[in-house]
Amino acid sequence: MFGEANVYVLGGAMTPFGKHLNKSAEVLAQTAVMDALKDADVGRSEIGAAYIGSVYQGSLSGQRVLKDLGMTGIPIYNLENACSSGATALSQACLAVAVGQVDTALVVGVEKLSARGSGPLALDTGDPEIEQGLTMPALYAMRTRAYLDKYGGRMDQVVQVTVKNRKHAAKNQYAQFRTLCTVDEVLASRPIADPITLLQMCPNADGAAAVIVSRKPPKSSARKNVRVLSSVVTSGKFSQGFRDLTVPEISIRAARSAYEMAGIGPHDVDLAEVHDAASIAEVIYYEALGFCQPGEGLSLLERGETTIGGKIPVNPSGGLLCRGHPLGATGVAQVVEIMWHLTGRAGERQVEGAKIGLAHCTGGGIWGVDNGACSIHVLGV
Amino acid sequence: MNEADSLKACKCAECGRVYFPERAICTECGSDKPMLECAVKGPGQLYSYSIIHAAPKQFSPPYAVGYVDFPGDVRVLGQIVGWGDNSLHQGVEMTIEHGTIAKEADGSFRESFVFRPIN
Repeated sequence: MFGEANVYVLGGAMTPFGKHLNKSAEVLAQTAVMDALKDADVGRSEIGAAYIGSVYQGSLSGQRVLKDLGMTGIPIYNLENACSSGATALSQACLAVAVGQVDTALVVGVEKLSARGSGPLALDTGDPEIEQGLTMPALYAMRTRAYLDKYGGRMDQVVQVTVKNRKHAAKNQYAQFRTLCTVDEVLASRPIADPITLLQMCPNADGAAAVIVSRKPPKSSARKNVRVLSSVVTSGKFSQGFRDLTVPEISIRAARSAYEMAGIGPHDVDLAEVHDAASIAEVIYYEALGFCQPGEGLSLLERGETTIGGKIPVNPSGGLLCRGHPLGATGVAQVVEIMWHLTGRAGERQVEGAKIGLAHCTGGGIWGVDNGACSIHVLGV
Repeated sequence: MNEADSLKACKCAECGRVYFPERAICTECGSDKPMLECAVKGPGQLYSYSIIHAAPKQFSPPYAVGYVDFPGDVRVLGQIVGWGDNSLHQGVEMTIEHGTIAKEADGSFRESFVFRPIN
């Protein structure tokens, strides 16, 4: 990735995602940090720098988390890139470790959305499309409609993403929604923005996740060494004219970079955690990440190829849709999930023989850009 | 205030790129020369749309929004009026009108361009 340097993922942890009304964001993050340190067999004093990703947790979120653990006094970087905040934090930690600025770094992603009330997240004003009444679900709804107009297909196929991710989440003790559901239940759930219904959109959640990266390999050889093979962050290009809503240029560019950096192709990926903020998003990302040709996403899904046991399991954790989406935490949680599979610790969700995993998340929807940010990390053993 | 059937847009003095809403700096060529005024006239073509059922307080669901594409490679997101069942689909021609799109917290109304499908 960066010359000759190795960046190891020594360990990681996450809290269950869901509504944690009685736990502050700091407490959630501290739990993830303490568990990650134990998992990595790393002491507090070995952490040379900390990178914290969150969106709404306010100024100095990292310091507020680490102060109570007696871990301040080191460089602390607070990063925000909407839903890619956690992955962005990881990218900077990897960079610092790779160039030798620090030996071992802590990455934390945290978000507490339950305090902000229910309903669609209020987006920033000053955005002309928001002023007109656009909502994030409506944007995904238009993407859904554009996809079906372009390639054909039906809503009962699209919502199979939710059904599949519930099957995965049922095996994930950290997931928010673990009950199985049917295609009919997803279609019959509350209309949000036609044709998108409630169960096609990811839920608001609270939660935290943490990983520890290092230029030193793990102390114990009991587990396989997990290395970061690529780390990419990019932003959406501004476009005011015609653009094909089914072609997410930012994710396509990020994927190309990530594969190039790792020296692999899509066929080398054994499992992927992708940004399924809406059911249609996962379908579109199969294509953007090269797991199938454009227009074949629904077919790949229907054949079971993206279910655990299939050719390219996607979102074995349950994804944003069913594991939940605490904005800043998601990017880090995706990497924790992949780490578990690569080290044979994913329990009932285990993707057999997993050697290479890809984590993809995007950040925000602001006017004129496909997405504000995108981050992809590829891990391998 | 916009003309009844057009949008008050601007055009880069350097490269000619048209923008709505107006902007000060051209994102295509980077020019910061004063933009030229121009009008984006309908009809436009509907690219995609959605009927929104859950929205922030100032809007009154159900309402429709859509992306409408105009000549000169200008795409505009706006509310759609006069949508009945099955009147909207990709490619439908849309005219530009004006109307109320929201009610502000202080009780005043937000006026804006809106789009109407041409039958």
